[in-house]
Amino acid sequence: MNVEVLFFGQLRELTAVRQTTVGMNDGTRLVDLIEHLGEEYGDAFRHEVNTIRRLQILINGQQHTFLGGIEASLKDGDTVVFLPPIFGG
Amino acid sequence: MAGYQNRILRVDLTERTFSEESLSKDLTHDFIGGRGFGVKLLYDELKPGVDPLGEESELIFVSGPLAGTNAQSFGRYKVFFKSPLTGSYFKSSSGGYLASEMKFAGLDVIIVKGIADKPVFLWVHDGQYELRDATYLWGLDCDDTHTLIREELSDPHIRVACIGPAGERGVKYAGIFSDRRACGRGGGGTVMGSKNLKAIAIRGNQRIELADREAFAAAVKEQIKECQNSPEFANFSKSGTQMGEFTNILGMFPTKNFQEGVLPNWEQIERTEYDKLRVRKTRCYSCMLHCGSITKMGIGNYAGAWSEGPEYETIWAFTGPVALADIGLTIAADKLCDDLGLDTISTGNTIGFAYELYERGLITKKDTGGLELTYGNNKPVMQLIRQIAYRQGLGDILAEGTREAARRIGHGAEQYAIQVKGLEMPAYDPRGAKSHGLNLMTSNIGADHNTGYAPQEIFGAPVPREVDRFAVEGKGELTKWNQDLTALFETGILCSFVPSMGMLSEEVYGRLLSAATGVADFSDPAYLWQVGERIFNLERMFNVREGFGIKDDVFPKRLTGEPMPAGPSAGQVFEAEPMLIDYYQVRGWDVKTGIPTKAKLDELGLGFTIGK
Ligand code: SF4
Repeated sequence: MNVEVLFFGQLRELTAVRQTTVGMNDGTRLVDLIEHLGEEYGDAFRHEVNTIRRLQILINGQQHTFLGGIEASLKDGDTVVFLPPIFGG
Repeated sequence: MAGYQNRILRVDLTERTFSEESLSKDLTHDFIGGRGFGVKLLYDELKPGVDPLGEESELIFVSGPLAGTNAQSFGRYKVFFKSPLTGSYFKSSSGGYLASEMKFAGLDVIIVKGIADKPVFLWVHDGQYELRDATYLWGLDCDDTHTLIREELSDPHIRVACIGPAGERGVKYAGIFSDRRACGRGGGGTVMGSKNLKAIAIRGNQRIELADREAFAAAVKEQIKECQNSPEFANFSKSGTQMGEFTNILGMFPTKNFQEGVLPNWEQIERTEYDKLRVRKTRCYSCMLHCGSITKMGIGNYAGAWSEGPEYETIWAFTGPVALADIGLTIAADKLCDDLGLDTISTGNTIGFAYELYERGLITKKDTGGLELTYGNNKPVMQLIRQIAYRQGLGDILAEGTREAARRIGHGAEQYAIQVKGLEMPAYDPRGAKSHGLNLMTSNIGADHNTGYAPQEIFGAPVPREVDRFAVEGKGELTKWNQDLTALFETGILCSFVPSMGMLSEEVYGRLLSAATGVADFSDPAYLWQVGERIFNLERMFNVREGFGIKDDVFPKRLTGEPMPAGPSAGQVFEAEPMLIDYYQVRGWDVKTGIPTKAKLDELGLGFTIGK
């Protein structure tokens, strides 16, 4: 299955990628995707994901915390967004 | 009393007279300042049913007890009036440098009433007041008005707040502009124009006394630490409010007049795109966040166009409604609205309303003077802005705002007016964030996001708790929490971005207030919360006196009856009834009328409003 991944803020600067399609096995969880991205973009990515305070991870626009946290299961066609804290209004 | 300057200036434009009053102890204790002063004075001063544009109406400028000090982000002023757009109580606020200059000139409040027999501007400098001829300024845009007043008075440091051609011509959503920052919403500029008051100009050199200088300095240090510790600090001070990508990710970026929630080419309005165009940072008086920007187009159709901003709301206002992301047009339209003196939110929303009417055949080329208002074609936008400001062609009707324009156009146009209480909806589709929406529905000034912004839903802020943005349960309580929190901080007057990002606690705010003023009660967070609630309820009672009630806490059918068609908020509607009942109950208001109960009013010391 394929998952669309979007990076914003410092994660985009680090990966130099705005949007990418990631092929994963069926039954993949968010934590597996993060691990996969860690392999692709290295320790710096893992470090940022673990340390950015109030990093939002959205699955199809919903906070991952309301979908089971990092154990949330993903399905084909999902969009996962990594969004460091921003504010506006 | 320290912190304040203890002076209200009254200006009667009809009589051309000035008088001064002290602040009363009750007013300062019960309402603290800023928004508290504004609502209490407006409630006391205005007769029920007063014509917002008549002789008896008033325009009240209020600074805050912390303005002009080195506390951070308190450089905001507010104007209070009965709105010609909504018929309700109205507050509108702006950053910049006017609030601090009012304090340096020895004033906390300026109350303007009457109508001058010809255009004038008010010149306030160190205890002296003057009405000067503004006939030669009438018709000028806001930037030029600033320049010429400073030239006339031979002082480049004078602070000015003025109206543009839109305010002079009675456009119902004309704003008041000070150094390119706006009290944009609700028609404060319209009221000012109806008084023939082109501008106020202020300069002062007076000191601001502090009750306890040492404690104040310590509290400012604490404030700075809290601010720097916030996770949002770095990104917000770099890019400001530019977050066009965010609401698109959530599927609640109002597109095609709130028919859809995702703008097709939204990647073109991400903040990184605006970062590339920033040529200078700007800020308000004593604000370490310096969230403002001067943005300039280098190439393309709008090469050379620049503006201060654009803010997120403006980024939406000239893209979502016409279904096309175009940074150049957005910057040019932002500057044009600033020059002509228009609220960008109502202007963009109203243009979106006209586009939908055109797309549906309710208006035709005959009505638009040949303009093709089709989605994806943003060429008519600049012309429509000018037509609105000068009340020409279709602009004459659009200048009334969507609610009144729809009434005049008829043929079912009302359902396409996306407004609450007559105030055009801003850049959030309520179907994607229920507490955010409930605030838009219940705010006492109509659809204003800043009255009770829900950062928990939009940004995942964890205070007071994390919430599911689609959930209905508990949203009454959360909405009250956000509204009262905003009101309590707006006594200062703190910039509303700061509490939304959790950058200042009530405890430290209380220490700032009590150290500045010497009022012990202000250091108690529970007292501050009570004042916040008191302010919100008095605003409601102003509206009740004007005939408002549950019938006015209502959304257009589109938002409650049409599920969001696609995107990350697909299938969502706004479940108005259960949330409204929940909200009224939490507020201690009658669930059948939306009016505060006697018990609630007595509890808040607002018994004087009962039976009025
Ligand atoms: S955060 Fe921005 S708008 Fe608010 S006071 Fe500071 S500079 Fe002004």
